[in-house]
Amino acid sequence: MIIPVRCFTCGKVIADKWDEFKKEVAKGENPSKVLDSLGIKRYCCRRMFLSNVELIEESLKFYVRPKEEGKT
Amino acid sequence: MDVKVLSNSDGQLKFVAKDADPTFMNAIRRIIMAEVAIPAIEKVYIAENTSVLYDDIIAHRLGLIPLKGGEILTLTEKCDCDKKGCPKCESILTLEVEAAEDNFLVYSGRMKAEGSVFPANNNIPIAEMNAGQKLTLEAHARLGLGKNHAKWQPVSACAVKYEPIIEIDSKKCDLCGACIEECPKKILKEKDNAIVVTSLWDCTLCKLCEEACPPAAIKISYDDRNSVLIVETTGSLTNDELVLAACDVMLQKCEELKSSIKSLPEAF
Repeated sequence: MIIPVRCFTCGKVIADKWDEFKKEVAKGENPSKVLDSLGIKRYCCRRMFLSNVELIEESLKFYVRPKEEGKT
Repeated sequence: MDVKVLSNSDGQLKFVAKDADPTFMNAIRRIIMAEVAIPAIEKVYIAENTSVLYDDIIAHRLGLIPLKGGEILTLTEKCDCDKKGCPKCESILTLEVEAAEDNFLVYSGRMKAEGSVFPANNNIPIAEMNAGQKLTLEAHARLGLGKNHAKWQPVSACAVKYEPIIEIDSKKCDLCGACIEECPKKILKEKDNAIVVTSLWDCTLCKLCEEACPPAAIKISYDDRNSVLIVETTGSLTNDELVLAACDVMLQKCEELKSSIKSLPEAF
């Protein structure tokens, strides 16, 4: 949905590094190298990044604004 | 007890305590994980939430945000307010956001501290919202212990490891390099016709090099009198503060034991 605040396994705070990760990977950088540069060493934390899908952006598309609701 | 700091970077502290009993080091480790009090958001009163995330999800995310401060607070269990929560044991944070644009991210830094407690990290996204969506809430932070909930655990990784001993018999060793290949941590190297250890403390005692060595020239063992403590904080307290706090908790426990033994009748 949205990046979890902490790693499920070890509890390291990872959410603060998501923006940087997303930006670098979008540029075409190798995710493995980005994670190394962010200091994410353990594989439990690394999978949190690699397996996350921002589904919240998909559900946001279906948000009906109150103003538009009045028009239709 | 002789203490030497191996590294203190990337939020991770690694130090060796020579001639320290492994059980003692483990006690310190367990106290750091379970009994050092830090603040975390315990109650969330949501006034308005028109974001796509449920109230429960937002409350859960808020709880996991590491908080700083709160030294003046008392543990709610020990407070005279009967576990209800009062200004002595609770600190309030508020959040009031209305997204002005689409795909607007609300960060933990937007939370306003009304008391002594504030977020340790300002870049944690709480929710993503579209223009016009609103989120208004009041969060009550309390001190707590790691044994009650993971959000009060001040560390992510916290481990004790014995000192590895890597013995290489130069007479038996034929420099085949199998051990260098096999080592998952890559700590062995060939130098001047001998196998040398580059960073001893990175050895995980996996003994793969022992199995890989055909002439059985390499032997791995450990010395449990010397151990290394690895502490990785989540942000509430610094690593050294954590170790000191753990020592204080241990001393306090000993004092409690002492006074309860002293209060026993003479016959004991």
